[in-house]
Amino acid sequence: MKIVVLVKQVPDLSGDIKIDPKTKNLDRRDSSVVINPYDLQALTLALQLKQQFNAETCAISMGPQKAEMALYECLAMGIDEAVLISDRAFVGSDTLATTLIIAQAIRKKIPDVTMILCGKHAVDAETGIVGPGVAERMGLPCVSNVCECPEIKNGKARVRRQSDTGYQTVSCALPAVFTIAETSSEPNYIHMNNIKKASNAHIETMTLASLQLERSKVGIEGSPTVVGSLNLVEMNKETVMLTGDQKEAACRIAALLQKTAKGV
Amino acid sequence: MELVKNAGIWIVASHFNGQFTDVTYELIGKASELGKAHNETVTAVVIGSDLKAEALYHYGADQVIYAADPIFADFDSNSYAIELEKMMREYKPLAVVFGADDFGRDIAPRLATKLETGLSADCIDLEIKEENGKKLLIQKKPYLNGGIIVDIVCDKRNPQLATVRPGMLMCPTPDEKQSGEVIKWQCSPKAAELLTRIEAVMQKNNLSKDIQKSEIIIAGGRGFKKKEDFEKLYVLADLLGGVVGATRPLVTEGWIDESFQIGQSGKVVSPKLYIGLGISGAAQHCCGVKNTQLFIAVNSDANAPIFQYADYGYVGDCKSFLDELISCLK
Ligand SMILES: Cc1cc2nc3c(=O)[nH]c(=O)nc-3n(C[C@H](O)[C@H](O)[C@H](O)COP(=O)(O)OP(=O)(O)OC[C@H]3O[C@@H](n4cnc5c(N)ncnc54)[C@H](O)[C@@H]3O)c2cc1C
Repeated sequence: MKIVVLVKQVPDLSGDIKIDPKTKNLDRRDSSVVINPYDLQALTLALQLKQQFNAETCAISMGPQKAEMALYECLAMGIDEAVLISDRAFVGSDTLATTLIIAQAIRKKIPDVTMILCGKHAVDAETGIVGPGVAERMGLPCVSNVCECPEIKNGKARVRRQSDTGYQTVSCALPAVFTIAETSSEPNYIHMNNIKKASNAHIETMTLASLQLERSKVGIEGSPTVVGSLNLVEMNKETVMLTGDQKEAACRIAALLQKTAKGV
Repeated sequence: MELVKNAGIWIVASHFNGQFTDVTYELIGKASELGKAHNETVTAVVIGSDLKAEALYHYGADQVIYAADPIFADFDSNSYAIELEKMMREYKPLAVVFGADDFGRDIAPRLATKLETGLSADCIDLEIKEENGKKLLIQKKPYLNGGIIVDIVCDKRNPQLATVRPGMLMCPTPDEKQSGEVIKWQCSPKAAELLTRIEAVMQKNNLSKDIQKSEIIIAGGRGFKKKEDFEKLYVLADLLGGVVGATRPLVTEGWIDESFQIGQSGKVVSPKLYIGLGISGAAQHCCGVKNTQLFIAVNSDANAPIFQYADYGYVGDCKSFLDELISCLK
């Protein structure tokens, strides 16, 4: 069994995020990068399957050279192998170009893949397109929002997923793509001996040339979507802080609540 | 009836248990508004089995096209996308819009890939702008926890694809006088195209929908130390006719069902009134609270980020404040 986990490095949005009003980009001065939290869930399931089935696991990330750090982290968690997809030509790729690149990388690196896992979306852009898009490119089934470790038997998988209205149990043949929502599994802690292994590991880099892709199909040229204007959501709310004792404040708020509730 | 070619806004209807979803109606409403302003017809497309597709006319669709087959009885993104691709190749609409739900999240990426066109997901609004003779669908998409709204366009290819989050657009009032004939789409899907099979469905009580529809939301966070203190929020909710929501830690704690979690990995709500008690105001929570008329926050820490979102704030203990509030209202 061979499992690929798609991993994206994203800005750490768990703290207070600041957006630079001029560039309208994330103020990165004090923000660090982390593995997309849903990808961590996917990694955790991959490691469970590794234990259960002795599966071979490979993490693949597309991004700048520094995304290597995310891959070292994957190796330190116990993932067997890591591949970085990185090339200047890929800069500016939208999801259409990205799925083309990633699907090609999987075909080249692990042609006999059993399962492709990724987070249900990346928390920076929140598109959730890559999982189903890669499935389409590879002609595979895709189940999104999977919330438990897949049950595997006779070349088929049965998964539990969060649906819009509750839960569903869905089955499909393998190979397949699963996008992972929150699971109840705790992420794997990093073990000392894995850190050692990780720091000695070689991370393979795949490029436009090694993937044998057409230049016009990737990067800005291969991306039909264009980002137009960016609008900062203004947070210049005038907050009225109520002072005075609790009873007074509560009664003022009660009056406000009643007034608004009546208007509803 | 002949369908228009090379034009028009198409809405792909999503449905569950034989019922169309609210976001389908919301999208038809938005598309009709855009269609009127820019002279585009609105086509609602339905893929499924045993559905009353004509109902979509009541919400403002100019045309309803229906691909009906028992194979489509259960949702499967691959077979649905294959059928949609055939329709798209035939009619070449200007834009195709889906709800950002179980349907749209899985079908839209497949369709975009098949047609090699652009897709933006989880938009909160749509506009049309005419530029150099092309009608561009402006796809308003929140980025970085909703801190910025990005306008995305697909200026060189058609159709322009987007998914829009449920609850972001106005739902039109149905008008039974608006009706028409459902256009049957001839199809012969193959069982082999079904790549996934839904074996079991566990439906949550429909309350989960209510938090997104509720105009009044009373939300609690970890400032509540005991479950029974938190549960007093229901008393307040009853007094005001609202619904109780919560932050993620309380859902994890098991104090409340996850369908009431507000935020990035929960529900996006847009109530008129939101009151948050004992909530720190993490971006992951607050990005789920949109377009409030009145936002009230109570927290014991004067520097809690939630106060940045609030119209009114009070620094104090949420438990005793809640008791006081309830007695004032009684
Ligand atoms: C990928 C990801 C997705 C997430 N998605 C969501 C999501 O969808 N929804 C969500 O809510 N969170 C989400 N979170 C978690 C989020 O980051 C915060 O951890 C969470 O919202 C905090 O909940 P809280 O405000 O209840 O708790 P805390 O952050 O612990 O805050 C408790 C607050 O209560 C105040 N307090 C303490 N005692 C009292 C008292 N006696 N009276 C009054 N106030 C008191 C404290 O000052 C503090 O501000 C997500 C996180 C990640 C990483």
